Amino acid sequence: MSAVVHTPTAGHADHAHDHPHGWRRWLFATNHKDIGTMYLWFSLTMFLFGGVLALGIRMELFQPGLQFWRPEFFNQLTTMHGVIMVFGAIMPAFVGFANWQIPLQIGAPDMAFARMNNFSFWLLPPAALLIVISFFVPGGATAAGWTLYAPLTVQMGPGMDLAIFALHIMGASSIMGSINIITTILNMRAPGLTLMKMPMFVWTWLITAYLLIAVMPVLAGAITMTLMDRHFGTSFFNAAGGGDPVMYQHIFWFFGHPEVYIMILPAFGIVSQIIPVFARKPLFGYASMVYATASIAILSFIVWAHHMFTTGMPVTGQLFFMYATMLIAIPTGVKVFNWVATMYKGSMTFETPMLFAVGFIFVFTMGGFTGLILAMAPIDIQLQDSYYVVAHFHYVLVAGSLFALFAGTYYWLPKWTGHMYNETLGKLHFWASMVFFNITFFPMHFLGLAGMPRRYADYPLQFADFNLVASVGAFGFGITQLLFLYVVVKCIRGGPKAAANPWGAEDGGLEWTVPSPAPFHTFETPPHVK
Amino acid sequence: MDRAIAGALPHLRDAAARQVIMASAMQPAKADRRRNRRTALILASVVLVFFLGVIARRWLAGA
Repeated sequence: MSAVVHTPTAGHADHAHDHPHGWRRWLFATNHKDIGTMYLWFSLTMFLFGGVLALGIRMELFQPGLQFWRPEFFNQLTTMHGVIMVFGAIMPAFVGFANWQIPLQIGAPDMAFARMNNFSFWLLPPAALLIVISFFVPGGATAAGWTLYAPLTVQMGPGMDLAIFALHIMGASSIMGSINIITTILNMRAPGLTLMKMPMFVWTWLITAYLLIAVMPVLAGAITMTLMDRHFGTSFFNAAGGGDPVMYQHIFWFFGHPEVYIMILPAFGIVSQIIPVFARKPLFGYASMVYATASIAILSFIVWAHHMFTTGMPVTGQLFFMYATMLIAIPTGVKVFNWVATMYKGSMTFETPMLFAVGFIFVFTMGGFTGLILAMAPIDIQLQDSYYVVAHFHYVLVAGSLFALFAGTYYWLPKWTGHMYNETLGKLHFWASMVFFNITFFPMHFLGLAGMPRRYADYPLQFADFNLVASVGAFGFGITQLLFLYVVVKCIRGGPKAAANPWGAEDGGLEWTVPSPAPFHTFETPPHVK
Repeated sequence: MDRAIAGALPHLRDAAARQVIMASAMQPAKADRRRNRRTALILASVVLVFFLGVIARRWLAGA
């Protein structure tokens, strides 16, 4: 990022009052900050709901035998936990960050399409409602796994239709959000802010939005075909009618693997913003970070079948997808190396955002390594659908995406609320999350290696000890997140006043040139960036 | 001052002060709006091609 040389209207606290009040402010919101706030509250609500479902899973797995749930309901819990966390919690949370930060970071007055932005958000609550209602229809919610594999999807009850409609709506919301983000970044940057001067968070979101544009319609196509198989007599994936269930897996994972990067690239962006500020050094290898992000996104399109090694494919196919997957380790390694190099000999301090950012690097790298192990076809064939896979993707998505979301929240909370959060409680939140996260998911590696399959409500006695430890950790992790909620609410309600640049970010971005809290309208006249 | 009235009666703009001035400043210029719309339409057409393409591909493949 370059220095701002002229910010004629970089914040007007004097007319920060100039906005509608009451429920109209939120229902008819066109301000990017209000919409960002709504996205963040929505995702936090869904995160807590999905978390309760996860605790339902861990309750059942606390000891062998069936304690609380019927096996069918257990499968509904695992399915809806995945659907809610992916589509209802993590993705909307990053869109919330994008709404708040992208216009502020590029010096734009708002998003390009303010009304479409409003519509994108307000599509989400009805979709969430459909998911919740699906638990109460005959047969309950869909239990086909978050991947919604055929032929299970053809056999499920009406809960499946509700899930399909919910995904369609959430997908439409994501697509509109992506169009808005790309248009805003490409067309509304402040004069002088060239692409290669943009903050890393903006860069990662630009690439993520392109990924969404490319793969969300593919998921929409797949579930539309599923809907047609269920109700209109087609046989796209229904083997009984000559369809091909494995083809569904190909189409789903063409969406599904880039989806993993949709959930992690903005996290990379947040961490890339935070580490230089708390290491008091410029980001090491900015250009290589940009190219590495783009490389990861491009490679994500050619690795999908590593999720399908056990479906049966030619050895050449296995080799191609195995090596292509391993290639992703190179740009990912570049990023990890650059973060470490940024910290090297830096004047580091460890406030809560930095703790979560460093914690992210540590645990995400572990998840990356287990991903490399799973990329090897001979090993994957042994570990497919075992708890090793569950451990792997939770190291990537909880300790990766979620920790980065926490880091970003603590980092920008002073800008959003105008108050500093309680640092002691923030650090307690970090350490408790880190410890309980590892207590929950690290034993799952051993369970998977010992052969425990996922998505079963019961298990043999030999897996009891590690499951008990994982369940204790899960409840600790769940309770810890209530502390996060408390810290955020306390910060919104009051606390020490935050300065415009509370972290002393020398090269942090245009958002630190406006007062805290950021005024309702910012950058009415674009700032000039040198 | 109501913004709609101020918009219809330009001589009242000053009385409306920053509310009106700011609202007009927040509006992108016509050329910018056209550019934004063009970018959005291109992206939306990509979405449509991918959505219909994946279904048409399976349909024509005779699945």
